Amino acid sequence: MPTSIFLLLCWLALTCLSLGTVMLGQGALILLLAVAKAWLITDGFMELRHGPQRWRWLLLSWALVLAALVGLSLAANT
Amino acid sequence: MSTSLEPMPRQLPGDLAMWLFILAELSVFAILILAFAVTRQLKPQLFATSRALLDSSTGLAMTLSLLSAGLLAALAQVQVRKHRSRRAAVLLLAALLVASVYVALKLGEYRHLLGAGLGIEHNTFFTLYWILTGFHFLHVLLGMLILAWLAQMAWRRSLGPGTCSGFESGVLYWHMVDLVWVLLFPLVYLLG
Amino acid sequence: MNVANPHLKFASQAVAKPYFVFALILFLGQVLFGLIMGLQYVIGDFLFPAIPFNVARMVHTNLLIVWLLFGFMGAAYYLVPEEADRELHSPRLAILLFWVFAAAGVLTILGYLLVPYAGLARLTHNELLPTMGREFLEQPTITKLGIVVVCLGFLYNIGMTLLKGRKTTVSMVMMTGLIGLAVFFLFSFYNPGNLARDKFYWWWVVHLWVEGVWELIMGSMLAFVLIKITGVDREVVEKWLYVIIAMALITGIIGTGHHFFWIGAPEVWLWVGSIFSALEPLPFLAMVMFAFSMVKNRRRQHPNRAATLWAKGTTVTAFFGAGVWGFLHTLAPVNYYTHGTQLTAAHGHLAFYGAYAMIVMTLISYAMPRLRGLGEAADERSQTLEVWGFWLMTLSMVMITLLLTAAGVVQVLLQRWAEDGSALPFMSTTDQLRGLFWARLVSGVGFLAGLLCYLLSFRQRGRAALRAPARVVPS
Repeated sequence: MPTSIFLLLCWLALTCLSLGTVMLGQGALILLLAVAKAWLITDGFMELRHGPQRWRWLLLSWALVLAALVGLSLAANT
Repeated sequence: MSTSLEPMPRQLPGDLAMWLFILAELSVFAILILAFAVTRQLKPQLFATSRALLDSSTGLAMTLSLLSAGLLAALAQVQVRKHRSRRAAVLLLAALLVASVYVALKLGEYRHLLGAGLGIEHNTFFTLYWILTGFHFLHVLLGMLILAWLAQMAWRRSLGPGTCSGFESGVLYWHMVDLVWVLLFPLVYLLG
Repeated sequence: MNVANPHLKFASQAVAKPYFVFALILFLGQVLFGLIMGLQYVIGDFLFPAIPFNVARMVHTNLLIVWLLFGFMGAAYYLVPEEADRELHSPRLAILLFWVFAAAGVLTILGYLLVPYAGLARLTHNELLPTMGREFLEQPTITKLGIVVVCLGFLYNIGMTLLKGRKTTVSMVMMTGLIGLAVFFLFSFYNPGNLARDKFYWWWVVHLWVEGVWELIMGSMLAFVLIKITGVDREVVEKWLYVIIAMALITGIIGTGHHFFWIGAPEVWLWVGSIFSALEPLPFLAMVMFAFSMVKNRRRQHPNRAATLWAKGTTVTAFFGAGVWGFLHTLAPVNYYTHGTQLTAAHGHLAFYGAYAMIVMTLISYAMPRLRGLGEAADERSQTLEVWGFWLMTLSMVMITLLLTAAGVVQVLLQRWAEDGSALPFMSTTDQLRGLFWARLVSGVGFLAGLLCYLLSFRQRGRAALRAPARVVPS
């Protein structure tokens, strides 16, 4: 697949996820959507899918760990 | 075949120095985001009522503006790797134009809040709101400066796959700004 | 190569030597006054009324600042010509400024010691432009003006050298740091009547020096020495330098907020200060990684092993002293209890020694054998003595830091923690800490012993070093 098309698909997915986030508006699910978007950016736009695994996992886990901690702080209230 | 134009497998695009810098930036934002989340947990009532004063309807537009600018920058990079430096410059200009939508919306929101007396000293929510979004806003401005600089560089010099490490680094910085925003947006405007 | 001293690339680099020598003399003075104060902590009226505690403290801190400035200037005079690949613009101006600065420094210190502080203020007509009476900026206004003149002449001298010569990242970063140092010092002339505002801008000198522009100076000095002793490609070193500077500026400039917690500034600084200064260890961590990876990937085995040790040591000690010990009490909820306790003193000692005293000694260690015409390194015996000095000083300072940290923790518990009125007043708390202060004094004597070892290592006369020239590391 040409890189340009791949990037366009990434962007399309990002747009759909953003729309989904705003439609849902609430709840822990939008944190998952946020992680998905972050991963599309790191693996797609930042090209870490071709990058060294250590850097790739570092950046992927940045979003995941942060979202998990935010989720925990949400759960602590309810 | 476009595969030959893709970066070599298992190699970092851009400069290692930029990646270290991005790591440092991501750590700053991680601390800011966690501080916001923890304070929200400690003062849920205050945060709920204060957040209701924010207008989240422009949020989608801001997100799309940043992400579309990211796409255009990534496409510009593809052009650079194909020795089409001028096309890359045009794409970057388009990215700048799209990104300025975000700047306009954000400035509008800031003016609205200041007009309503909801400044940085109003309460803890707004203190954190201004620090977090303001710091990110400054990064967007710096990112736009970098993109503009890359655009003029690509226009004047013909860059190619071997000479685009600096270009890649600049574009990476913009993606970092996007990356932070996709987590920051739901946290500040929606959750809780 | 010049004929007079074949070990210097440019003859004018020799002006660095008096700066280094005088810096080390002042350093010795600083340590002696530190010991006087250490004794006054446990024997309150020691040397009273000749040298009261507050005067000893003023001399101790002022000597520190002045000897570091001498060290930075000497470093710049040595490093900038070599980087710019040309002679210094005016060696005569450099020597003239040395005598002006040295005379002003000595007179000021004598003024502190011989005249009561209020008398010194009257004598120097402080009322015309009142700038005295503030911690670290106690110098009479006339001395401050002298510092400005010296800085301007100094910046002109190395600036012209740079403009006419090769511009490298190392020298540009050094120049930026030195200009910043001069610019922020100007805030010492701003002395508003409102105490909160005074403190606010006071930190623009104090914090933006040690946690801002001085880090640039340290970074470039470290990069220079590492290029020289490891032979690693300049490009690699420059990239590291960029990362270190970027991190230092992001965290350092906004991190100023951690000084605005309890001085009457708005509440937002509690957040800004805590969050951004929490990352101030990062640039120091980057420096540790930088130094160790450069030494590991070295292209040559430099005969000056002492300089290599200093270069690695300064980054590690700075990381712990400035980074870790700074982080210990930078968060506002912690600082609420620890503000101005012995914990601050612990952090101050290890940070200043690790970051700035040690980087100056790193450069001196590298440059001095060349400046003295000994070659790339002093002889084996001198180096062994210098390494002894390194370990004695560093370990003594670590002990001082740990003891002051313990004292700080006990102090917080006795004096700050209790909310039911059972908290002790300051002087009673200090009485409880006697044992720790005695141990600290012993460590201070250890430090003096280390410094003497270090100074004795310069005893080797100008005979050529009996060492093989640098050899390439077999890969």
